[in-house]
Amino acid sequence: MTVVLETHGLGKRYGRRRWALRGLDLAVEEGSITALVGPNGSGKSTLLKAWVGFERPTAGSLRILGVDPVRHRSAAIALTGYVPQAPSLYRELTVADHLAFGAVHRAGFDGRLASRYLDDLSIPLDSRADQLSGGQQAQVGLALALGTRAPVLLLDEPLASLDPLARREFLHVLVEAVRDSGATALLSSHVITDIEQACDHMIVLGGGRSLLAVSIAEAIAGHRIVATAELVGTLAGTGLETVGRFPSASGEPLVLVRGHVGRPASLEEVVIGHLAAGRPARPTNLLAA
Amino acid sequence: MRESVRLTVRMHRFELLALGGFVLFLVVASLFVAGRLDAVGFGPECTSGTGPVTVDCERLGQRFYEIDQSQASPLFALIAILPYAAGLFLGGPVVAREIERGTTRLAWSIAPSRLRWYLARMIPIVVAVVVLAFVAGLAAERLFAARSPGVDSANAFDHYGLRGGLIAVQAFVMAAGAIGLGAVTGRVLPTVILALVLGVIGLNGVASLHERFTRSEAVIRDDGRPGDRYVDQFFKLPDGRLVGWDQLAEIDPASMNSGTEPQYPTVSLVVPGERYREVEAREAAILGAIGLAMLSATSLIVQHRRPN
Repeated sequence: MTVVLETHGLGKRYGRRRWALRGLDLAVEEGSITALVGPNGSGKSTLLKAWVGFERPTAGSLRILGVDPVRHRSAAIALTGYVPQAPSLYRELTVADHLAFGAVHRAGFDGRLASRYLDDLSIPLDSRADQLSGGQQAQVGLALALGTRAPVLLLDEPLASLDPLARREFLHVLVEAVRDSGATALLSSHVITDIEQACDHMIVLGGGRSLLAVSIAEAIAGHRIVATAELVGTLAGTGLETVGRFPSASGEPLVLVRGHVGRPASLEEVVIGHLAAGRPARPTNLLAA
Repeated sequence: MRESVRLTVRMHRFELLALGGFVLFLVVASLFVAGRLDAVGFGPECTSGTGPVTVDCERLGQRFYEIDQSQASPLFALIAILPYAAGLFLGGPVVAREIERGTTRLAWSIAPSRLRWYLARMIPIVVAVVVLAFVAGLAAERLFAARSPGVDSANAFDHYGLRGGLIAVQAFVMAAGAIGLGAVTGRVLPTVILALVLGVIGLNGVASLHERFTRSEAVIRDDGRPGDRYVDQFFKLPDGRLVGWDQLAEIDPASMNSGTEPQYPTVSLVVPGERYREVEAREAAILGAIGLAMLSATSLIVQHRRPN
């Protein structure tokens, strides 16, 4: 498979001490829809911005279809459709004006394709951006990115402020468009259930590092959940590879393990288990207890 | 190109309409007041100072200066702030508002060339600023001609910098500075405040330096004419030497103590009014070069800046 997005030892430091990304090695395959998951401050936005040349790496390198966005930002942007974290539309312009803006500034911008997506969602082209709901603004942002017909789509938490129905519609449009065009999409999000529906791969970031990078199917199939008491009482010494410990919603201590023991893990538990593992060590140890 | 201009105009519709309205008011008011001043009939025969002051001239002058003080002067005060208002009001938001509102994230991710984006955003606004200020400058010329009967406005330094093309160039520099500061700060209000302070200092600084240079080119004239830029006055001694008051007091103290004006002929050091257009064009060229340099520097800032 062709690697579309890659990083090698990528690091980004803000100020003198705070590393948003550190030693990050990643590869995103062509035609995939990959979820970028991680807590706030894990470096998701920084990584996406680096690929469109909005952030300059402090260390390492990155490529988008072989193009270095630091040295050749224009070429990298020409390969990318980017949806920013917050809707960034011009409030004075109508939706149609935004499509015209795309056509003015981007060679090959497909205004018809973009307006077709918006028509399907019943978003009026003559509405001013500031008259649209948050979900509609996000859809316009996505339509603009799709209208670029770029081979790579980078979406920076576009679902964060959307209600469940708007999220579902957004993901539906995204998946359809990516499947039709054969593009590659990297979508950062906190909402695990949405990721499970829309994405086929997942990258978990924590503390500026990659904690897990696998297909969704592998992530679910390769992990199990074991209750701590069960682990201590009956399974200790079986050589299980523990990944991370975290409490369930009811407060029960759980352990995410790799292996065939325990109950199947949900995708959310896989993500939480890896995030817990990537967190700095705490003084108390559930297993030891 | 047309579509790009249309979008930029739409983004700045409020500012363009407000400034356009202000300039329209200045033009209409200037033409109206100039017409009123003309209608008084206070002509060169009353202002030349060669003939006796007639009762008619006195009456006309009273009426003329009443209109001049109450209407023309306030208009000139408004025209004086126009370059600042136009430059800050239209130039300030061009890049700063985009960064502040986050629209640069969208624009710079769609446009592979930030330079092209910058030119598309900047040029229509700068052209609008220059055209509107130029129109106001023409109206100021007309008003000046009406309030200075007998003075050839093309050959007079009176109201220098408050009329004609120099107003447009001043507005251009203010706009260029505000656009550049906006690209640095990324915030509209700090940009406007900072650009106002730096603009006042900068424009006055350039004008002051240029005036100093122009004074160095001054020539001696036996009689200063209306429209000349007066620099200094000297006494002409019988041996041909030109001396000032202090020197005359040393050379011929008696002439200073006689209780009347010294009896030596006086000459003036002036920049002749005929050089007005040339001096105006030179200052415009200096300011224009500064403005272009600032716009060029801004293009570099835009290309290297983080969107937000």
